[in-house]
Amino acid sequence: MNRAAAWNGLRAAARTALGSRCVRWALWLSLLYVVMDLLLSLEMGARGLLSPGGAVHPDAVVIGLACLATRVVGRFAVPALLAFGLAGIGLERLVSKAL
Amino acid sequence: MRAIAAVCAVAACGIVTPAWCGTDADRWLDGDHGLGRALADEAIAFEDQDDAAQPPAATNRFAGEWALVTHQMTALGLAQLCLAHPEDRAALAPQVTRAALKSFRKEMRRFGTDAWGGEDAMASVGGPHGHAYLAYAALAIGMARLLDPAFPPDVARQHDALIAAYERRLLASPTGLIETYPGEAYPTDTAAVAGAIAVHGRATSTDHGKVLARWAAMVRKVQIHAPSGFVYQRMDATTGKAHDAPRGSGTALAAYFAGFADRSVAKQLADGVFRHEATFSGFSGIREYADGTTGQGDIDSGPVLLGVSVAATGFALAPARAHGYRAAFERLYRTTDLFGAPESHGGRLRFRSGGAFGDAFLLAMLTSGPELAP
Repeated sequence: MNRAAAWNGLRAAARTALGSRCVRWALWLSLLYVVMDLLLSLEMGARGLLSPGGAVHPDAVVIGLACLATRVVGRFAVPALLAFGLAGIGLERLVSKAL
Repeated sequence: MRAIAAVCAVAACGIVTPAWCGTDADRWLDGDHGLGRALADEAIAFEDQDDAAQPPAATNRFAGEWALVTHQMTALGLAQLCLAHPEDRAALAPQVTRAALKSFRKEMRRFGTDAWGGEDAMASVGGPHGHAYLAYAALAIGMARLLDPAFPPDVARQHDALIAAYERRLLASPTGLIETYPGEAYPTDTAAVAGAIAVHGRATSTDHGKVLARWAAMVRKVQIHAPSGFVYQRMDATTGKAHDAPRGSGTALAAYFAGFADRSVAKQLADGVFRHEATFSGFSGIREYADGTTGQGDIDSGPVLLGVSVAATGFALAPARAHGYRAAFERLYRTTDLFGAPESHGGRLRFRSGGAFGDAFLLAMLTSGPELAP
């Protein structure tokens, strides 16, 4: 198989995958995850949610908790959505081939 | 078809997510040198920053405790790395001393002096009051003395006097507890006292066997709540009456401190802690309260979510690593990674949600093991 054929095959596979709403959701969530992770790094730096004296950094708490929530949801939901979407596509193809 | 796809989704959550969050768990368990140094370098950078900023002494108790413990945990974590990797000792031992000395500064213990009505712990070593909060610093100082041949002799003499006072107070106590603040004794703080005494013995070749054996017996007889395996969080030092429930956060930290003094007590406490591990999809946390007791989060436990305590979960990493609970360590580490949000930057490693306090604590917890009593 030449390089062009491989590229076309890859594009076709990506188009098929993106046809699944779950896969699209997973990609959007991944993008949000990356943005929020960057925001977490920028906002927290070495500060954290609490100071070494135990005082809450009020400006960091709202953003920090939102970033952590996105992190938690993203780490569970992205693999689940991808698996659900891709398994759905794979199963549909198997069934349509069998019929 | 949807059902099969849903099974795939659940399987992905159960396999991919724990693997994603646990990539470094085995490296921490195996004592990966680069990983330990990267977190150590972040803690050292904080100490540099702290030296430059010279923040004012904390005015309230909790802020003071946290500030002292940040320096103490930095010292302990660095010391554990020195013991695990002797080739780093020349570079890290002075850093251990610097952090330990900060935790021992007079202004750093102002919260305790205020609690005792203006009585400074070091000005009253001949007195009967416990001042057990200063054992945290004394333990760090002991580790610094163990590792750093250039440790300042004048501070070493103060440390000797404090340890002698702790030994006398502990031997005189009918419960194996000494007070942290007036009317308040914490088994966890007394475990730090025992750890400090034991490390002093190792650093100075002094025999503290009698007091340590008595402390160990009293932990088993008075301080452990047998049905749960937890130690009581707060007690009366004279009568042994519980002033709080047996709790996970105190027990997990006590297991870490006890390891410096008595391996078997530490193991027993660790066994108690891991009886209360709550697991979910390859992740876990430690419940703050045993069955039959309830309560809310406080300064010791941090937030308690679905019964799981943030502090107990973080503290439990140390006994899990030190006593070979490999699977539990991996589960706890995944939770720590998920919520701690570690990040590598400029060759250093930091846990973004915990800040300097979290980094110092996790440095000590994730490198625990080499400090265990022989």
